[in-house]
Amino acid sequence: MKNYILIVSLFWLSFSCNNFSKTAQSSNKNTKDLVDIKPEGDGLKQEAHYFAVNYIFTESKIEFISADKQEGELNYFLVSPIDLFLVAYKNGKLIYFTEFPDPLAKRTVGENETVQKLDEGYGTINFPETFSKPNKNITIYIFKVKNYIENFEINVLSEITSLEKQLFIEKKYSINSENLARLLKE
Amino acid sequence: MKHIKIIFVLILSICIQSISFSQTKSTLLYNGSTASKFDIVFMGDGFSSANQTEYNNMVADYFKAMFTHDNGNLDNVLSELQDAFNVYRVNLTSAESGVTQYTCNNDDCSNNSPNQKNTSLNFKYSGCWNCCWMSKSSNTNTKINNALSAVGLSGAEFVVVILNETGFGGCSYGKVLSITKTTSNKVLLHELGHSVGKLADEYTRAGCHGPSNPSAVNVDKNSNPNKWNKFARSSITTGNPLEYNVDGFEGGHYKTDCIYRPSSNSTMKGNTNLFNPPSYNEFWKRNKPKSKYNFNKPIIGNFQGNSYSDVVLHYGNYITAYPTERPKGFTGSGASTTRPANSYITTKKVKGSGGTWYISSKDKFYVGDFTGDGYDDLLVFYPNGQYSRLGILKSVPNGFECIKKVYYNLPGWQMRDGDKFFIADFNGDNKDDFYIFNATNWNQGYMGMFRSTGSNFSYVKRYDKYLPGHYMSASDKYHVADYTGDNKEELVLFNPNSKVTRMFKSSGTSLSKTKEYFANLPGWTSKSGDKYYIADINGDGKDDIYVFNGTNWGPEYLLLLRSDGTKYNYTKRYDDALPGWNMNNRDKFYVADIDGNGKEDLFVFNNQDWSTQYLGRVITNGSTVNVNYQSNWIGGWNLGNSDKLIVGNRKTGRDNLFIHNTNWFSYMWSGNSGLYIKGMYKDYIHAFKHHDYGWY
Repeated sequence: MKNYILIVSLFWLSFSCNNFSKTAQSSNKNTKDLVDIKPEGDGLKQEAHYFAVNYIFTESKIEFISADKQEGELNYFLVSPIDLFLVAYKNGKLIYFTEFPDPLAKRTVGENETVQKLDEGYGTINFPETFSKPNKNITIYIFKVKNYIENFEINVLSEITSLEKQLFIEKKYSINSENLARLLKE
Repeated sequence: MKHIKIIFVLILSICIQSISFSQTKSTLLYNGSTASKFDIVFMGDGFSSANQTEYNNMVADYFKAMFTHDNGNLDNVLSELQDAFNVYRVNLTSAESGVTQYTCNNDDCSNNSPNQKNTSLNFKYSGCWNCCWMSKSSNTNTKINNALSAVGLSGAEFVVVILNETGFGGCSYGKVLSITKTTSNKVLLHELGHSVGKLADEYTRAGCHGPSNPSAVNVDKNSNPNKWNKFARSSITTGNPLEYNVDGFEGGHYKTDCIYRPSSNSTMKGNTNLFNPPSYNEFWKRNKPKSKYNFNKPIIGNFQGNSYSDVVLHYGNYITAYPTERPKGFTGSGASTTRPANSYITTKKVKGSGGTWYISSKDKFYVGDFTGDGYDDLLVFYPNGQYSRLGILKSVPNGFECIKKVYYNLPGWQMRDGDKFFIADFNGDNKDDFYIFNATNWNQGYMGMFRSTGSNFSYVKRYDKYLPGHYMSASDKYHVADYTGDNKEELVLFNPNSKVTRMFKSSGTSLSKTKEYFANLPGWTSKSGDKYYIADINGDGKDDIYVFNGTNWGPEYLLLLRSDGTKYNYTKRYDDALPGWNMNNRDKFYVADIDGNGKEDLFVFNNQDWSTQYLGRVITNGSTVNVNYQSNWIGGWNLGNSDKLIVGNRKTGRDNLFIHNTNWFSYMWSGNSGLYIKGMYKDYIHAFKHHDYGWY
C-alpha cells in the first residue's frame, strides 16, 4: 500500500511540476494596466529571424557563450555611435552595423556617477540571419569610440581605417565570420 | 522501495527549484518584432510570490511615468516615440524576499555576505556608492541571460532589474541597469537618456576634462559646436523652461572645466523632467527609424477649442495630437509665438464610455463638432467589408475619449468599404451630422442622413437609388454647402459624366432639389474636369462656389458664382489668367478666408507645371479676385514637388495654412503682403525656444 501511494505521488508530482514550471507564459495577473495587444503587421517578414549572441568580454578578447534565435528581420541604420560598435564588411563594402554599450564599463547611478573599468563583462550582440551562412569574404570588427565623429554615417562606409588612424576610434576585437557562422548553425 | 523513495525526493527537489524560479512575461507595450523595435525588459530580484503584486505595480508606475503623457511633464519624448519600443515585464519568483546584503568598508568593496538570500538573480546590495551600490554574483549574468532566453528576449536592448531593496542606488553594466525599488522616476528617466538617447552625463566634478572630445551629442570640448548650432544662438535665450535655453555652459562629463554642456540644467545634469534640445533631438534621431512617425496624414481641427487649428498626426496604428498655442510653461524667448507645440497625447487606443477604439493604419478620420461643445471631435471609420466599424472620438483636454463604437451596421445602413462620409450640420442644431453615400458596393446608389445626438448618431433618412430628381451613381461628386444660408448644410452635386449640377436643400430631416443645371452653369459650359470649391465668396452667409477647369480646354478657367438661396447666379469668369496669376493645368485651389474679412478666398498652389513652385493668395472682394504669390521659398520653407497643403479653418479671423510632406511640416500665417512661417518642423513636431534656421 505504501509503495502504491509513493508511486502515485511520483506520477502526480511529475505532472504538476511540469505545469508549475512552464516558462514563457504570457500573463497579466496582478497588473495595473492591460496587457498590450499585438498590432497589425509592421511590414517586415515575420518568419525571418536573427541571432542574439552572448559574449564574455575582457580587455583583450571576446569569447562566445551562446546564441539565441529571435523573431523578426534585423535591419540596421547608421547613426554616430558613442561607445562600442560592430561593423561587418563584405568585399570591402559595409553590410552591417550595430552599436552597444561597453560591457567592461560599470557606472554608478546617482548624482555622484562614476565609471569603473571591469576586468570581465557580459555583452549581447545581435546579428542578422545572413551571418549564419559561412562567407570568408566577411570581416567583422568591434571598435571603441574615442572621440566625437562628425559625419560618421558617411565615414563608416569606406573610411573606417582613416577614422582609426586619426584616433577617433580604436579597434578592440575581431570576430571570425566563418567561426561565427558555425556557432550560429549549431 | 529504497530506489522509489530516492527518486521521489529527487523529483520533489527539482520541482521546488523550478517552482521557485518560474517566470512569466507580460507585454506592456508591443509595436513589432524584437528585430524592428528597441526592446526594454523589466525584471525583479528578491521578489517572492507574496511580493509579485508590489513588483507589478512598481513596473506599471515606471511605465506610466516613462511611456505615457500621464505624468505632468512639459514634454514626453519616450511617449511621443513609443511606437519605436516594446516594453516587457518578466516576473521572477524568488524563494526569499529581499536581496543578499553585504558589507563594504570605505574603499574595501568586500563581498562578505552576512545576510544571504536565495533570490532569482543573486544580486547583492551594499549601499556603498564606491562599490556601485550593489553587485552581481558569479552566476548573475548567466541567470539574466537564461531568463531573457526563456521568454524570447535575448536580443533586448535594455534590461532594468529592480531589486527588492529599499536602500538607494543603482548600477549599470552594459545593457543591464540594476536599481533598487526606491529609485525615482527622474533617475530612471536619466538612465533611459543613456540607454535610449545615448546621452552622456552632464554632471560635474572639479577638474579639467582631457583632450578627447566625448562622443555623445550633449557634451563637447567646444562651447558652440556644430552639433548644437541648430538650437543655440550667440546670446542666451531667456525664460522658462530653463532646460530649453541652449548655450555653452562650462562643465559636464564629470568635469567642471574644459568641457561644455548645452543647458544649465536638464535630465542629464540634475535629473529634471526635461531634456535639453540637443538631447531631445538625439532621441528622435536615433529612434525614429524604428518608428512609423511621419507627416503624411495630418488631421486639422479645433480640438482644444482655442480658435487656432490644432494638429493630429495619424501614422501606423497611432495618433498623436499637438495644440496650436503659445507653448505651455514658456516664458521669455519663444513664448509669444503661437504654433503647434508639444504633444498632449500619443496613443494607439482611445478609451471611453463607448469602449476602446484601437487605431488602425486603415482608419479614416473626419473632423466635426459632433457633441456640440465647441470643440472639434473625430469620426473614425474602419473599412473592413461587412465588419466595418465607426467610432466617435470626443475631444477632451488631455486627448480623446471614445464615446461610441458602432459595429458593422448603423440603423438602416450596412457599412461597407466604399462608404463616403460628408460631415454636415444638416439640421442646424450646431452639432455636426453626416451624409453617407455608397454607390460602389451595391447594385445601386444609397444616400443616408444621420443626425448627431451628441453621443451617438440616429437615423434620419435613407435614399435608395434616387435623390429627389437624381439617379445616384458612383461617379457623383458631392459637396457640403449651406447655400441657403439657413445654417442647415445641404448638398451640391456635380456628375462629371453627365455634367449635371444639382442643388439639394436640407429641411433638417430630408433633402429637396432646388435647382439643376444640365451641362452648363451661368457663364460656363460644364466639362468632366470641372472642380468645385464651396466658399462664401461675398460673406453674406450663403455658400457660393468657385469652379476651376484646367484640363478640358486650351486655356484654364475660373468661375465665380453667387448663391441667392436657391440657385447660383453669375458673378465673374476668368479666362486663362487671374489678375497676378497665370493659371495652369495643375493649379490646385484651397478655400480659406485669407484676410479674415468673412469673404472666403483661395490659396492656389502649383508645384508641377513650372520650373519652380508657386503659392498664390487669391483674394476676393466678393465680386472679383486679385492674386499675389510667392515662389520657391517661403521663409525657411523650400516649396517642393511633394508638398501638400491643408487649410486651418477658423471660426473668425484669418485662416491659417499647413504645408507638409513626409518629413517636414510647417504652419503659416497670412500677413498683409504674403505668407510667413510661424512654425516649421523637421522629423517631428516640438516647440523649442529657438532654432537658428528659423524652425520651431
